[in-house]
Amino acid sequence: MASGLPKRIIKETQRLMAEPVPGISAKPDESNARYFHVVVAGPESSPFEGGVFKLELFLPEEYPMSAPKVRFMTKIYHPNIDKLGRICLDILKDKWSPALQIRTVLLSIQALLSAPNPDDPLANDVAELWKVNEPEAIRIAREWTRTYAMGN
Amino acid sequence: MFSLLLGWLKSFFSQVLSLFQIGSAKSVSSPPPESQMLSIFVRTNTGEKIQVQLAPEWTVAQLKTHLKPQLCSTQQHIKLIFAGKELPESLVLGQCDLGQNSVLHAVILVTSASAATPPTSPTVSDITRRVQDAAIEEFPPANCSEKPNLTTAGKEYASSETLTSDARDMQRPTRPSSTDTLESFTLLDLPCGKISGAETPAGEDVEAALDAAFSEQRECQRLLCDASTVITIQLSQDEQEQLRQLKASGVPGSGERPHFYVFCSRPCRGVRVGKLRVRCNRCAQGAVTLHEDPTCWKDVLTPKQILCWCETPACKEAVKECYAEFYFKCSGHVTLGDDDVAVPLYMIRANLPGVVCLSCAEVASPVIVFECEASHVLCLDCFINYCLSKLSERQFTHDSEIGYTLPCPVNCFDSYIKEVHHFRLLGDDQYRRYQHWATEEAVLAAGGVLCPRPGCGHGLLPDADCVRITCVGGCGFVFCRLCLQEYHTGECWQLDHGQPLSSLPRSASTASFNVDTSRVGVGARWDVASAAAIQSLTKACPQCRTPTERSGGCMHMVCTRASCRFNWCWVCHKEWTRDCMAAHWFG
Repeated sequence: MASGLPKRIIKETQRLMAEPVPGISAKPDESNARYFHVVVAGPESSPFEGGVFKLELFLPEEYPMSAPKVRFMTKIYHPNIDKLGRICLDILKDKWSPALQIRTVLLSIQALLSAPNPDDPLANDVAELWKVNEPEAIRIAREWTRTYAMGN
Repeated sequence: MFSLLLGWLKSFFSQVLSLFQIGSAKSVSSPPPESQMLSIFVRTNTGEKIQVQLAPEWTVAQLKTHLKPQLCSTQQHIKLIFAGKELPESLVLGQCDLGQNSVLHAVILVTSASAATPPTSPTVSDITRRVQDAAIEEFPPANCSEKPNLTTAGKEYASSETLTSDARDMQRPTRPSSTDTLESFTLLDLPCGKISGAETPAGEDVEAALDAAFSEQRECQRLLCDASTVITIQLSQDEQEQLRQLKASGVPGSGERPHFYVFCSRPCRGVRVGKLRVRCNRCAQGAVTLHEDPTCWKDVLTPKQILCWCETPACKEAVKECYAEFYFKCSGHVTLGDDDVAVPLYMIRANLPGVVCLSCAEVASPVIVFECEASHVLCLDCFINYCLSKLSERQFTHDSEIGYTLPCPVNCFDSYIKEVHHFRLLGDDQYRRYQHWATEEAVLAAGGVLCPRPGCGHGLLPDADCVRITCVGGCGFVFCRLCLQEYHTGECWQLDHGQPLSSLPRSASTASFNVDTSRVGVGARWDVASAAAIQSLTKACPQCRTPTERSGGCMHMVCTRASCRFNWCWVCHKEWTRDCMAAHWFG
């Protein structure tokens, strides 16, 4: 572990490795203990089922006073995730509190995949379709999952 | 021979006691080195004030013997009062949290005869007598029939003569007789003697203090400096119970002695251990004894919670009741006098249960414990980081009751920091910044405006319908209240994208603190450029005028200012409605 790494990050990392969240893996980068390679499995009975989504998670210097920075690396058709993989999740913004952890953030992201929230959209076009024609939106989401999240 | 035996007993009991101490328990208030003489003042109820040099090893009885020739005749008796309690004869003065220049209050009892008959108004002697009676009732007769008055009121103390003869040997508290029971000996050897002889032994040891805090249902059983007093005030019954269970299950807590903490603004300029003191709310003198012990912060911080007997002649004669007024002194420096008091930072406590800081996951002590139901804990460093990050983001909230403050980091319900002096922990510079912004928010909350001229920011409270505002007492700038630009006639031209600002709803706080556009046409070129950029990129929150940039997402805006949080529509530039959602949610 890099020297000068806060005990909190060390503890969280150890726990993530020892007791991983089902369906989620998070491993710190070999050269940067604040950078995590995250893989989230698409939740069952969601349009993302069967997909494997890669994310990157970075703990800024101010962590845990400021939220981790999380981004989807795998393309995903979701009303709360935009083209660049940025996630619209309150706990990553104004609802962040130092009592939350990497684990809780990843669980929330998993939950967001299970229950897209078009009322708080980031990707405007996706959100609009999701509201206007949900079956079509779900069809596209499935297709994107097959195309981008099942390849390897 | 006798002293030899005493010495042996002493070492024996100190060994027994050490067995009961928690592993690494360190006692902050352990007696100072013998060489260190304490210089204190003794103030009498007749107004005299004398200076006394004493060794911390002295007992109260020894001090009384020392004082008597200076204060009264041999027939008269003195009772010594400190921090709301009559000091028991056996108490070792070093165990009180007396500091250099502390003031002890001496009350001269007129004659032994009159002192023996109960006075018209109840006095401390009454209480001690009552406690004695209680002790007799609660103790098996075999234990206390011989000496029920062992550690209580001085005048009945059988062996004051023995004590004087023992004055050469001032190392330890003296004992009345070698035939005393084990309980009495243990009690006498404890760091903080109790007023009642039947008291559960309690010292610096957290466990013992916890037990004492729990078992003391009776009134006036402990000194204000006792660890058990600190525990009783700082911890709820539930918290005490949890802590007890924690200790019983063998979890090693921090093992330290609990303390009060204060912010000492001068000369220490920092957080220090605080000393709880009490005085009469009428005469402001310390010669008072409490009717009952304070048991929670409300008792200590809210006026007129606990009655006291004041020994000052004026108060004694008056019919009116006197209330105890609690205050704190800093233990970090020699007191500078009666006015040298410090603000109690009651959210800071010793981390007795060894709770991890929710931010850094370390176990530190002392810690900040928030007043939310979950009692969230931050270590002092993380508390400072938390406040600084919120201060930089200007996310403090202006509460009409409390002022400019923060909730607990988890944002629990009703968790605002009520004593804003806790923000003194941020250091002088940051605290000044805090105060500056707090003042600005207070002006805005009161319906005032801040002069928009850069570098001025003067707070103004103009009439509600006044639109042309002059910065009186500040820079003299004349500006329009609506757009916060240099005053103009006609409609405002700023940022409204087709809608006159004057048609917008006006709230109580229609002003901004950081609009930087007032120097258009006046300042340098970069000012013009900045103004232009702000104007082209931002729209002002319709409620508080904070320039807001929309970086993406939908048209539903939420004002970023903590005290505003207005929901508005980027397109309509007014409050967000369902119509906006239907018509142009995404533009």
